[in-house]
Amino acid sequence: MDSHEQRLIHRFREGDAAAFRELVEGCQETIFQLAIELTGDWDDADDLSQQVFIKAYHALPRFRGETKIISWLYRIMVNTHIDNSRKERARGWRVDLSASDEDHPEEEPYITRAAEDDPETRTAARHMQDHINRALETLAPRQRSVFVLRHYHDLPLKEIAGILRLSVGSVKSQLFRAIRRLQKELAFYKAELGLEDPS
Amino acid sequence: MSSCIRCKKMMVGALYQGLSSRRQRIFDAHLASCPECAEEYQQLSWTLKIMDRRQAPAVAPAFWEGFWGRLSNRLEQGRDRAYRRDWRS
Repeated sequence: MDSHEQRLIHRFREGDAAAFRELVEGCQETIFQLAIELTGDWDDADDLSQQVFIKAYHALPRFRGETKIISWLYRIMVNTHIDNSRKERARGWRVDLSASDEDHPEEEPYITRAAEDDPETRTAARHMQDHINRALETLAPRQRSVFVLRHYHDLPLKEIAGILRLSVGSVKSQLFRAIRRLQKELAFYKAELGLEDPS
Repeated sequence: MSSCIRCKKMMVGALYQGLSSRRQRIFDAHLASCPECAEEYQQLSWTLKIMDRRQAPAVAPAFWEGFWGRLSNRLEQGRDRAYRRDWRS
């Protein structure tokens, strides 16, 4: 934990409410990106991010500062996500997130989309994003967390093991299984992307 | 066979450039002599290249303007609920 974080936590413990807002604003974008990667859904990501900050708000007085705040928030998020998924499964919820946004374009009002000139290129790019997101959907919550933290957040396996309270060996095997699963889901892209064998 | 098992254990490290140079040499030597493991490694590398093409959604500033407001409302509601609970007990 750096000195800026230490000062923020000290101010928060002294009753300075603005310190928590500063803390949130300092990492909300990273936390929200992780939430999108874990849930694949805008509203769920918004809700998950807020759950994380609410839990952090209540737990901050007990935070020992052994890790960076962001790693601590990652841990809260991953555990909350796994817990939410477990509860949804127990309730028998199965939300279909595979539907294209073209069916309900009004649902993501805040996303500013990258402008693509050619409609065909735009559609192809959009389809690829859908396929990638759908492939991520096929991973179990823990596997998905491991993959996302390693691949998109560049966290070392040891840190992921700390976040998930698993051994490094177990993280490695979850990651291996996740990549294998993604490979099966996305195998058809190989030719399309010119990744086929030259032979 | 046992070297294939050892190779699979090193696969993740190799995919993310996390092997020591000694282990990387052992891994490379195995791939050079085992087409099945070489094929699997290539397939998994391709998969990661595809996953690299995922675009993180760009978030408009308007979203962040409302984020703190929504969060502080939820914190307030939580405090209200806790207060009512304490008051009833």
